[in-house]
Amino acid sequence: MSKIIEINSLTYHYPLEGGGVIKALDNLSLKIAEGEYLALIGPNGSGKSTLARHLNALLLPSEGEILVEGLLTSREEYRWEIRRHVGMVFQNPDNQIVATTVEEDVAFGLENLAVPPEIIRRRVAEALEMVGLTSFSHHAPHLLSGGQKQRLAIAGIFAMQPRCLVLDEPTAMLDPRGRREVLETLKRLNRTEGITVVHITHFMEETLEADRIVVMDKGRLVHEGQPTDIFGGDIDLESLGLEMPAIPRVVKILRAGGLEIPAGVLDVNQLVNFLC
Amino acid sequence: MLIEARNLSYEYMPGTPFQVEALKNITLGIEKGSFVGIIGETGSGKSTFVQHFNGLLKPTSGQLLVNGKDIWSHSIDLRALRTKIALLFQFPEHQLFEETVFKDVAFGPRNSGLKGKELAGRVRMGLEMMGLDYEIYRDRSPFTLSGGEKRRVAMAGILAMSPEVIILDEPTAGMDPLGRQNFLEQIERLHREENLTVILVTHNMEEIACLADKLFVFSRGKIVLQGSPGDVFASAEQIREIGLDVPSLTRLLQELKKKGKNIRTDLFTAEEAAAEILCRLGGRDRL
Repeated sequence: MSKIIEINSLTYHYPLEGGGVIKALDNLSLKIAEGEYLALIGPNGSGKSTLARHLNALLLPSEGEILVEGLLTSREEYRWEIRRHVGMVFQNPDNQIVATTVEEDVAFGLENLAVPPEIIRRRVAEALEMVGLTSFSHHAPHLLSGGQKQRLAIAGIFAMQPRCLVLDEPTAMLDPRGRREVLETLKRLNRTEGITVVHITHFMEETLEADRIVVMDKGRLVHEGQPTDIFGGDIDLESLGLEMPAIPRVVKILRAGGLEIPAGVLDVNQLVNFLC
Repeated sequence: MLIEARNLSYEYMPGTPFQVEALKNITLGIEKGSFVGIIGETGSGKSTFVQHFNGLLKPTSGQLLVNGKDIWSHSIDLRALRTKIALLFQFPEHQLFEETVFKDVAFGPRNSGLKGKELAGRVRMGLEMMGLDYEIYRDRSPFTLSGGEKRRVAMAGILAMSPEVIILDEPTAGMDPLGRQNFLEQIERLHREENLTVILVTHNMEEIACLADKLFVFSRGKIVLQGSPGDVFASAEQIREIGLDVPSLTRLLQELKKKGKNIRTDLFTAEEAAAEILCRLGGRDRL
């Protein structure tokens, strides 16, 4: 698979008030493949959000470089193209709404790019269909539920036809239904549209179906691998301020208790199938 | 009964075209020293409901009683009530505003008239109850703290009022797993050691299942289920229908039971669930 994003020895210093700097990212290198579903986990302050903001040139490296579809984020002439390739969704859905109806909200980005109206209409309709909000086209966004608002934010970005979607804790403020809706939407975008997803989360269970999990700590990449590698029991996640999801935790104890459970048992169905 | 709602209803903007009935005829009681969980989807009325407990909202009809007295019909001092029944809003760290941690934590007790040594003692107590070292934190600016520390400082400000009841609305949203665990351990310890009554509003089912003695489930302004976590999550289908979820451990145990295994389904920690599986299935089926 070809790379969509390439991060080479990225270091980033936040300037402090009154002089001095904090090193938020420390010599981090990572390649993200086209079409990959990448989950990014790590404790608060480990640099996940700082990294995410580098992926579409909201922040620029202090040292090192980032290439998006081969374009250097530090070059000003590429910035708008990079932001069309890589869209961002943030934690708080209320901060991302700009218009008074759902369809106008989705159209906002396209209107700014002076896309012809008939194309805007088609793309808005497609985007609302993709996130399952077609029947809400004429609704006021502030009356939607949290999960619907996040799907609206995703639709607004999907309409811009990006190659990659970066989501910074998109489910942190949602109820269980909202979380399910957003996760299903992300999976669909990834599987059927081939859009690369970079999903930052504090909910370990949300990463179980990712192609790859990257674990960050203190601005560095400390582990990477498939969910079976990360949650197989060999990595001490607790010392990183993280935790194993519930089912892998049970599996670990069952193994210690003598059950020979094969690698790759991570969710309820897999464990039930093994036990019955 | 410490807190009691009787046929409590609440409407937002009554008499306008925007009138919404947020709570419909709620009756429930909360006992002193209990740990109560309130769950429900966004917009189900949970936050509206708990804002009645210390008189931030007034019922449109029905009553809210504290220690048997209607907080609106007797001439109850609402200010005094609010120091006894303290409410921590969502994202409380946004409400920090003072220059130092000391001043921020002292804000509430100072307003209720404390000064000097007594005030400092309360600030120390609040910070230490949240596991924050008084000497290390007192002179720091709240704005240089991490998200988890800020939230604990906000919580310390509430504990410095020596409340009898704390109401926490989504206290761990946005925190990493360790921060969440530390925060909840402090709350659990206060509940256990200081007999603090805790009312926790949350979207995190695994969290509340381990902590609460009793759960109230809200949907569209009504209570649709109540009981111990075991009882409530036994109604898995109804829980999912109203937009919530059962903890994945519960799902595991329920699935095993459905497949005919004789197994308990009311266990909420990985250790307990694994022990039950080993005891019921391990010996006979596998070893």
